[in-house]
Amino acid sequence: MITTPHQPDDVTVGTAVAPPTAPRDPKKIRWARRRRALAGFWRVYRQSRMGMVGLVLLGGFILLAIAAPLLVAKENLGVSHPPGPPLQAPSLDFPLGTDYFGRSVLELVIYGSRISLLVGFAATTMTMAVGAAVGITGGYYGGRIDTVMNALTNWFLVIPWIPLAIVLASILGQSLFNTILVIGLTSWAGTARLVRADTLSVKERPYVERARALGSSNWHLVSRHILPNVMPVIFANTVLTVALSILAETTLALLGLGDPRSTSWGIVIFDAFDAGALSAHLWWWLIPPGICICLVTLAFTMCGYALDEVLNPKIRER
Amino acid sequence: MRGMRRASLALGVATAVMIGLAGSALGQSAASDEKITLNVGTTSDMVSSNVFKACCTSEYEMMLLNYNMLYGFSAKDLSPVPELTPGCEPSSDYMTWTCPIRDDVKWHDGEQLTADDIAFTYRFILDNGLSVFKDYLPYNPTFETPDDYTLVWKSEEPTLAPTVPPYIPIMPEHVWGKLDGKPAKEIRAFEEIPAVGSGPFQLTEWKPDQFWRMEAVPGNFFGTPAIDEIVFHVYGNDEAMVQALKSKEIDFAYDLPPTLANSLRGEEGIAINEEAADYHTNLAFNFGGQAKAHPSVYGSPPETEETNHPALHDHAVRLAIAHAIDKQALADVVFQGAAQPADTFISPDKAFWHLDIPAADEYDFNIDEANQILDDAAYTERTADGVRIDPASGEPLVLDILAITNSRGSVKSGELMAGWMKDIGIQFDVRVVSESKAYVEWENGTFDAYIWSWGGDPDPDFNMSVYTTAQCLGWSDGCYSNPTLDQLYDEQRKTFDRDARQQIVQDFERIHYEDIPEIALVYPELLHAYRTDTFEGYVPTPTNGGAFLFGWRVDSYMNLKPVVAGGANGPVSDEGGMSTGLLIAIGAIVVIAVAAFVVMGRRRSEEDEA
Amino acid sequence: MGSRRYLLRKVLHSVTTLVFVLAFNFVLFRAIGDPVKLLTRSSLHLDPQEQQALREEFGLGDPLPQQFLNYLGDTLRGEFGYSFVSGRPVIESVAEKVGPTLLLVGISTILSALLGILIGIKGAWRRGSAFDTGSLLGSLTLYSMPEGWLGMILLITFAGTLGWFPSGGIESTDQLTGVAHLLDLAKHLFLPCLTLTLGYLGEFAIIMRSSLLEVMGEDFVQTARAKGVRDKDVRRRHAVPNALLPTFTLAFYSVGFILGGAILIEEVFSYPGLGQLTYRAIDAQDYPVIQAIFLLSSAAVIFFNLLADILYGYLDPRVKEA
Repeated sequence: MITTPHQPDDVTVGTAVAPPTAPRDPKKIRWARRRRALAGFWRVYRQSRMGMVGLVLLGGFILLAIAAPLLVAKENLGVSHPPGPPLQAPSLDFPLGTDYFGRSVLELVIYGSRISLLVGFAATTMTMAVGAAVGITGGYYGGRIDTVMNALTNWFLVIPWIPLAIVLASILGQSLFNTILVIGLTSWAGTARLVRADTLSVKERPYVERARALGSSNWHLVSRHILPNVMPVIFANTVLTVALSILAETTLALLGLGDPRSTSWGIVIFDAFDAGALSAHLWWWLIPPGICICLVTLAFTMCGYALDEVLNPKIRER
Repeated sequence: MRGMRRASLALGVATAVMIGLAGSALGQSAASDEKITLNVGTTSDMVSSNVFKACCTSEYEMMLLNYNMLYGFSAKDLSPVPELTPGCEPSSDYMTWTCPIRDDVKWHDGEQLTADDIAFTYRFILDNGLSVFKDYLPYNPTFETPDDYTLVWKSEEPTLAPTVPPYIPIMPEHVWGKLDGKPAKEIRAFEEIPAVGSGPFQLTEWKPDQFWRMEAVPGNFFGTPAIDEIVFHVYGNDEAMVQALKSKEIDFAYDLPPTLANSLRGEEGIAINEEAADYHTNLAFNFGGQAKAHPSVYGSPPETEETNHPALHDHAVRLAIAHAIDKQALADVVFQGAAQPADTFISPDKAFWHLDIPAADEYDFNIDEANQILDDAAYTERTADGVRIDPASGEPLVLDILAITNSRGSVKSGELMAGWMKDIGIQFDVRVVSESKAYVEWENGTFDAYIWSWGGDPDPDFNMSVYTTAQCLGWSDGCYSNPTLDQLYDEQRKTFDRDARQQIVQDFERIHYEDIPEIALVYPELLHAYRTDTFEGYVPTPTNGGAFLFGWRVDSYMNLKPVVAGGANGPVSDEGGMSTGLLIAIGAIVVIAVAAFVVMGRRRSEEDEA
Repeated sequence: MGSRRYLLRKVLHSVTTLVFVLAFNFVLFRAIGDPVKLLTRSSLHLDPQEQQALREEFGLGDPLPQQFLNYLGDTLRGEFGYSFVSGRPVIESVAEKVGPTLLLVGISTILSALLGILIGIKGAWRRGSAFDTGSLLGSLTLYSMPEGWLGMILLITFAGTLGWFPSGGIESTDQLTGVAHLLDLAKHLFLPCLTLTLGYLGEFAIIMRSSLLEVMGEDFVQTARAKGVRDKDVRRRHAVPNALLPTFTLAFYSVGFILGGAILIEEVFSYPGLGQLTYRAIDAQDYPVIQAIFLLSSAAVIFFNLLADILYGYLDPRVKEA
């Protein structure tokens, strides 16, 4: 819920003036400008210790998720031919013990990174797409359209999300896709509000007014001017939203509303709980997935806040 | 910063005041006596104290303790034994039953229980359309009381109904009479605590989602128990309940999942009560008769297309599936050993009725044989993924399977079965749904099979009715239809010789097993844990592998005595918590620490200014 | 007057949102499915004629628009219907459970806001110090922790292994009075409160720190410092109050999330509040109860948002002129 009310102007930090002999192709200029902006961003971002730690952590988990199918044989995830006896304590063969069916918990946690990150990214994509669309539309057009969009947003903000998620899960059934849908449907409003505020401010900028005076179409204005300038806010928010989506999926899983046939970290914890891991003190089953969720969320959050500092000069270290 | 400190102080005071207000709102002002209290833990609360809303185990246990019935259930095998009546005598045509009633039964408020109360209760149920118990009173019976202690039950058709026996608590006319004739909703909403009954314990207090309390009734005809009261505690989850058992907050924990129960084996002072199952889990097929059977009262137009997979009508397919299910693995893995592989749909605890299928005739787990059956039945063509194709309809054998979230073992069984079915070329698409969604699905017939369970009475009539054509969209979810079974069902309803009826029932079971409308998977056990060092004298009912509590009799409650050695069984206020002194000390430390943090922080910043 | 128009606008806005919520409530719960079917199967064993009668009783036979009007009328009259499961008036069940949840959520919100603010202030002011880095890391970690998991770990460690606290519920069954009763409540409340507090503490600390840092970068702070105003006074009179605003409003806006978080916590700790009621009601498809809770918690959130808006308008003169 970090808000970023200020954005840098189109011309950014630390850029040299373009040499006058550069070709006048507007597309090339735009891309050159963007590259320089990105380089500027990166330079500032790199200064943030928190941001770098987060990035490294994130990179690690993403690598893990990508490499998961290579590390874990597909058959070991199936339940009817499990690799070991059920509910074993950690051993050399199974460093984190085995689960209810006899699958290796370590392998479940490794593969779980894939599922958890997938759900996080997919739900975020949905949240972002819907949120940005609603926010930009309302902010840009104003008037009645904005009133409707705004009302819709406010009203989704007000509905308590867990009961809504529970009801949706009951209607739709429990599958990974439905989980993603549920999280997306209950999270887009925060993004929409942010994007709308940002759109409103970008809309007032001189070059936008100039473009409109020149007779640009709405589509041109939105795609060429509004969207790129709202992008930084959207991007920072996206990163934070992934963190929240992963936490949301965990909450749903712990409530018993997740997809019990998947192996996301939340489901692994839920299975552990369901199998009595708490009172049987099977800490090796309960704690690793929880720590993974914590670390991944932490990573996204750290990156998100570092991005926030990049975009908001006022809170940067002097 | 002074403002901040004042603000914190104010907030702290406000918080304390809030706690105090809320606390006094919740507080009670009764003093606690030196009572012998049995503390029982369960994870499901009563739904209502009104017996006409009784649904599930908790309120049934309350009913068993608070009220009496015409007959009770034998400790040996659950056959009927005298309770309010020493025994009902039938006329030769089995249409009139005469039941003498005990004259030494008093209601909790001191009034005498007479045959009129029994007649009233049965009439009340019939006249007011209270269907929860209606099935025990078939053929429009009428009831007469020629004197205070004689009940005459007259039925329009020959029946054994009084000796089934009817699981109906007898209610006092002088309390419930005023509700006669009122709308059903009002009757079901009536709650009066303490509840006036005639049983050995009385419901005196109920805090929904927390606990209900039942106190022993002095001078009850059942006898005088050693315990003064039973408090049933409700827990949100099994873990919390087990913690409570370990810390002696409760003496008995009802219905634990197998892993949790197994983790308690070997714990000092705790033992496990293994209750033989009285239900079975099943994989039930959908035969698609819902469309034709949609009566107009449901208000939906009948569908024209069947929604289930056509290949399910082929016995060979069902037979192959039966051979591809490893019931022992289900028992071992899904239920952690707390289950028995099943054969027929009547569980073995109903020893008189259960048919034991000989091992040679059982469908053993044999993937090769399953594949052979399907090959022989011409399901040889396969899709690119290896799924067999139904030659008749051209559809691949992809089955839509419902796994119900709150049906124990359903989802995990589904996962296992999906793996086995893959080996024989059938694809199980297991869909995880809530119970409520499942009802919608079975009502519309939009599934191929589901994994669920069936429980039932000691009398097999109800369980058999599930597989009759007439019950389509009633109790028969798959709308299975077999005229032979329908015939046998009707026949046993009219057979009054117990042995002759047994023969018919077992024929029914055999044909059911052979035709495979469903596959009975396992008979799960219910596992309970109890402390051996607080109370002793638990009595299992039935005697072989029965439940100590939440069963069919109240013997345990009547028999339990506190364990004398080291006897700390008085007022059970041991919450397993810290002493209050320690609590205050810790609280004070926390407050001081916070204050120090604030103060120090300020002082340091003042130094900085220098 | 500018402020009166602002107030009016906000109130009107809240009312319209409330109406939307009512409509949404109604539509959503009709979409769940037929509660009569569920009822008949699991608890009441009704035959078709009785199902029809029950359906009429609950007004399910009327056309949809008629049902909606009935619903609106009933709600305005304070009638939330009868629970499908227990048959008792919904308002009774809700009234019983509101107290414990208010207690839990109230204390947790206040504690987490308070501690979060204090930590955030100290961190921002001593930016880069060990305290700042440590508390930021700690706050971020707490923020990243799944609450339900945290609750489970705390339950098993402190109530289970160490046995310092009871394993669930809100009070013991002994009928205690006075101070003993308060202490009993405190013992039961401790772990759930701790979990919720820790869960939201991090967020408050981070927000407070961020907004304070932002304010510190503002011109007027620089000016004050340049003029030689003491650090402590700059902080107290200028920076903190301005930075406090977003945090305060966040506290109000967070009510909705904390209420949601309470559902899982109440389940884990068997705490008999609205959260537990909600979860059970949904499991049993007891939709008069669910509808009532949805409505009440949405109303609470709308109310707190309105409060926040008003507070914001009152404290930040710039807003009112907009």
